[in-house]
Amino acid sequence: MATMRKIELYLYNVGNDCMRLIDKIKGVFRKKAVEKDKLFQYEEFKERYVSKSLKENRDYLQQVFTHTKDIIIRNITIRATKQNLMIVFVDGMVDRNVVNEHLIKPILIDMAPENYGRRLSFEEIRDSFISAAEIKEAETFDELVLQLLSGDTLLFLEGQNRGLIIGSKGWESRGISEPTTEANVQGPKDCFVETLQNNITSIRRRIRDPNLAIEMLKVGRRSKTDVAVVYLKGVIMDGLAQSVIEKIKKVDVDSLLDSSQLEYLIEERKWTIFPQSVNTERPDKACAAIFEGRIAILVDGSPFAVLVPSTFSMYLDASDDYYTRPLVASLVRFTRYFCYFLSASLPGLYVAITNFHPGMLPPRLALAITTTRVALPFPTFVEVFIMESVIEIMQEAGLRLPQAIGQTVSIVGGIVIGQAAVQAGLVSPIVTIIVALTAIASFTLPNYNANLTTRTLRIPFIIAGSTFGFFGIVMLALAILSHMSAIETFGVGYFEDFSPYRLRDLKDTMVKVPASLMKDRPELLKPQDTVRQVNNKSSGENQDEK
Amino acid sequence: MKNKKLILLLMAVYFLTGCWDNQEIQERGYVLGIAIDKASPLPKGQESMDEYLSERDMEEMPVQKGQPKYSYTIQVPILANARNQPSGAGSGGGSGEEVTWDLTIRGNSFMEVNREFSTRLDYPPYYEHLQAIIINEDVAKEGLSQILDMFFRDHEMRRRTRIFITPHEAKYILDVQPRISDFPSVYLGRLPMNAEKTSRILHVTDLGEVSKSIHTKTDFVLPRVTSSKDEIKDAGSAVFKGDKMVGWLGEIDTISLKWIRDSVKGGLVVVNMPEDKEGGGLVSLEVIKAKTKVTPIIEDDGIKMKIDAEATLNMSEKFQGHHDVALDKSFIEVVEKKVEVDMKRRMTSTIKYVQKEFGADIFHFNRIMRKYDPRYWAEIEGNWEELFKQVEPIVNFKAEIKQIGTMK
Amino acid sequence: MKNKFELSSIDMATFLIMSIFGVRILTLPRILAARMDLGSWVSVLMAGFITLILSFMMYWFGIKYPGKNGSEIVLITFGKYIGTLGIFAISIHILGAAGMGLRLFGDTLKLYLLPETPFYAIVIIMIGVSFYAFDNGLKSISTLINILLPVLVLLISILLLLPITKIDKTNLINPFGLGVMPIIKGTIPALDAFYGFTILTYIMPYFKEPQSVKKWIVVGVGIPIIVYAAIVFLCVLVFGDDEMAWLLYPTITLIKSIQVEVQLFERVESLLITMWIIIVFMLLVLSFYSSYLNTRALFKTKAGTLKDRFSRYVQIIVLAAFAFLPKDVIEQQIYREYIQILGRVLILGFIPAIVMITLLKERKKKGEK
Repeated sequence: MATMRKIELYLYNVGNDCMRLIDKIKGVFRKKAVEKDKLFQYEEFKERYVSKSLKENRDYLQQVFTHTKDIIIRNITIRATKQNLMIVFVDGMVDRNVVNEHLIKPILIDMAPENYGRRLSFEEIRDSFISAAEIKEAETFDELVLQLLSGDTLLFLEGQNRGLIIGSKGWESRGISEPTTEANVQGPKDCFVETLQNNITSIRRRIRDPNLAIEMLKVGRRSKTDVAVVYLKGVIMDGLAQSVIEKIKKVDVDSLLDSSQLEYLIEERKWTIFPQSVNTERPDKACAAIFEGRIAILVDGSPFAVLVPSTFSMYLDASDDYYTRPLVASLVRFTRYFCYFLSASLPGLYVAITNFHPGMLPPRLALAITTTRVALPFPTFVEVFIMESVIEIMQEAGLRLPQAIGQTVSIVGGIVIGQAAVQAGLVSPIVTIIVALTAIASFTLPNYNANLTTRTLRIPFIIAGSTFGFFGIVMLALAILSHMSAIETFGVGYFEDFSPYRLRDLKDTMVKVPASLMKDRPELLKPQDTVRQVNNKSSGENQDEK
Repeated sequence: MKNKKLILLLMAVYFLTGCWDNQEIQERGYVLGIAIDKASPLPKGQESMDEYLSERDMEEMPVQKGQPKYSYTIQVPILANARNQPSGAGSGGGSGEEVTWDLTIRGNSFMEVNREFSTRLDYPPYYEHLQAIIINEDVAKEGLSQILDMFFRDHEMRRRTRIFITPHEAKYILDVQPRISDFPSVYLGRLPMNAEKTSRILHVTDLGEVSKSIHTKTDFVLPRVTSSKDEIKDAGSAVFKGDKMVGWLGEIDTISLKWIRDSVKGGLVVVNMPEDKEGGGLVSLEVIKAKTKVTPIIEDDGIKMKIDAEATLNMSEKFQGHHDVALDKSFIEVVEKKVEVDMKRRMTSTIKYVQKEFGADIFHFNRIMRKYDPRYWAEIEGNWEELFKQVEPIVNFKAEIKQIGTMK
Repeated sequence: MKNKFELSSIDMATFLIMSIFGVRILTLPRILAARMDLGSWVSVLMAGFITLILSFMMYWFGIKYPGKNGSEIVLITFGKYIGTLGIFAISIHILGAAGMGLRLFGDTLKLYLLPETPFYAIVIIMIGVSFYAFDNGLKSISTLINILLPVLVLLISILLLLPITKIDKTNLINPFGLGVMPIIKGTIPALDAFYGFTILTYIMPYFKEPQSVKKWIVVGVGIPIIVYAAIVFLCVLVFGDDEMAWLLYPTITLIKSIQVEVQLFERVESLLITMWIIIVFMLLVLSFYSSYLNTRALFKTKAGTLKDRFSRYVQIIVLAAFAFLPKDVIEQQIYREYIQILGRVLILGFIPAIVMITLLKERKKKGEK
């Protein structure tokens, strides 16, 4: 028996050598189709099929990845059956545990004795031996390389023209922590992270409806970023999902690094300062939007989800409104609306009224303001501009500060500069107050884009106020309103929840009515299924029966 | 498309270069008060001598037409020296420094004089915060509509600016250095707000009223002010017929006037105690609510005016001390009766006095006639001046004492 | 995805309210007081009632010819030649009234707020912003109206409630004191205030459910009636009839005379001037829109073509021409008179005429059957 075995092995090796020899001869005649510094595209991967020769596959892969050294190719030989396997993965992107324990170990070590010595077929390996959770097959290299670069492990078997893709993604990811830009007092405090799958999980945990549709797309020629479009089938407006998906498919960029890039590529108006979709870091906000009939777009690598279509009141909406008492929340919301207009127009209003119409102020106030301005060197307009610039500088600097000196700069900037400037007689204290107040007011807005909008709007208002006074401010406000009225996102206007007066929609804009009254979904989104909740009697009525 | 943007850009640039109305708030000369006196006439023979006019006196100005008749004074605050200042805006001046700057110019038409002020004042005058206009008696006797027309017409003026008449020179009122407020005009402007405390102050006396009265040919009253070095007193009224002043009305008469016109906001009624007690002291009653209704009765032999006044009073002071108990129904009734009789007497005597002395219908009987019977009014409108003097007043006064304070 | 935009029924009311509040708010009290002494506000009520009847007539023939706006109906009813003449008259009326409104606004603005600013600057800004708003389309206009309306309502309520403190009760005179004739005579000038209701025919084609618009018409006309009458009433109460005839702009004087002892904005006029700027702005936008549709009916253009663009821009020129036309205040009054007379002819003449002709045509058809 042993000799038979030896002969068998010997013949096998000879056969292998012959094959290699033939390959070499073939290689001489085959044209050198590959150059040294060739660039590879996914389109040509589509044409390339897995060859039956393991070596060819290995060579090809090495050629593709000549310039990186973190692609690991592990050759495995099953001693008993002399089968050659090749495992390819990217170091750092795979979960080593899966590769070691669940891929290599079952084949090499844990093989049951009855299979020992038997040649394994491809299907057997695929179906019965690998204890990984996710296995796919592929014949062309485009999918293989893509999955390899996404963190999966490839497995090639000698003599097979198919490759296996084993799911083994595992990389370092930020843990779920508190959202950095949208703080809230009550309610859940988890936020999205950079990994798409974790984000989808956060959403899935809150929406356990089987009708939750998650469409996956890949955007970006080189980045092939995963984009997930999440919505509730049967709730959403007819045709909305299709148009969003079509629009995303039309996007042709090199790379997609963040969801905001996608946001700006699918919006309808480029030349406007008003954001046309809400982006949020919080899964509860995203889920609330999905429940209302909107679409959430998640992009791999970005902790911000994009909610589409959006209306104006969404930017002034904080999740806190839904988690606190409704009457109180209405007051707070009202403050936010007021702050939005205030922080854009207050400096302009000040300039307009003091320079053009001091008659509008009561005499005491007018005289008081005059008294503080008597010896000042600059006209009001210049003063306001200077202070505005100072505040902008401080805000921008505050973003980039390292933690250690953050305190110092805020003290120096805020207190010293402001106070010293006033006492030196350069600016009047009233202007300082106004500018500081508008800056703070702009931070009441929960959405960062809205914040930036008001900051940008401040300057035209100051200019309008100082050229045409009150009239200029009102006209500018009307012009901006006209502009905002014309903005549309996916068929839903910017002001759609205010515009035709619909009681259902108005319940949740400037005021927040108690939850039991919000029976239906917002009409503006034309949902197919409008009922949110059946009439909810308050529990107090049941207590009498106890 | 490109052209559109270019045009817009050009327009924007053009607009930015011209902020036509922009004027710094501290660069306006706020006029807080105006005083109008008569100008002393120039020496004979020298009315038009330019030499005489130009360098001699800053207060003279060559007018475009006519002779300088009036002397206008405006009051501009000097804010750096104001005593009541917001803190942190620099230290306020001491008590010796000037707080206001009064400029006087003798001229004819106010608009011209106003522009002349710009030759002396370094900031253009600004009237939107005008608090008070003070007019001298002599000027008022010549007629108000000529001087006040600009105030009615100009858009900067407010209809709520108050007007006062003074028997002395109006300029002296502006020279008063008030102890609490900063500026005399502001002080003066706030005085009528005390009308709730006493009926001797007229409170509905602004430009709007005067404008209305002159246009509807109604006679009106304006309050009288007098002053000392650092105080202004506002009590009594000046009677105007047409737009000329015809005389003064004393403080007590002013009270009756307010009663008749249904414009009492507060005040006192003082009556004697019933005589059969020792000494016969005084009882003071505070007016809480006052309502008057005037109805004309048209009869063949003349028009009678039925004046029904109702007052709710609180007893606030009683001279008798503890001899008489106030919490006594009969006592209260007696006092009420006294009040009624006294007020009736006073109001009737005021009406008769005004009819005899001035013949000016300051009680607005004409408006009441018009409201009551417009057709009849249209007939007798022309004769009203005569008819007014023969109107017989029938006064009914009803007093009700509600509270007597915290002691019996 | 882009549905053709359709208005919902409530929009009828909002459009009407906005459209009827023209610049008349300023001068209405004076015109009426100059014509008659007492009871001017009753004339306003009567004129409003007539307006209601006329708007129902418009609604009726809007339903008869679905999908066609007023100008097209004029063309159909009167035939080519008279119809074209009618359209010209309508155009002149709309743009002329808007131009006069703009002129009046500019003059008043210069008088009270911005004395030094040249008139053309104000005109350029007003026309520029209004045109931009109009250019964005009907949906944007209706959104604008829906947003601005509550602001307007708030400001008008303040305007109406505050002067109550300054009422002089002696001015409360029985309106029928001098007989009924003055009131009837005053109804025709009061009707001038309600021209704006003609916007009805221009928006009828765009409704989702034209049938259910009836009750909103009543609301849309009723509210301005009440507000106008209240303003006139208040002016009478505060000023008295005689004084009112003297003042050039009684409403503004009313506003200025309100002096509330509130700390920050003692002079409430600033808020009310905002209201007034908004009103004139919307007047311009809606005038642009009606005039544009009018012109389109004449040239029968399709949207998006060059002719269409032309017919938009030509509105600006004509409007501006009207605004600059009068040389002074008195001429302005005269022009306004002419345009008002033209308006009266159009409204009191054309609308019933269309109704009657349509009825006759129907009877003919029935007779032929």
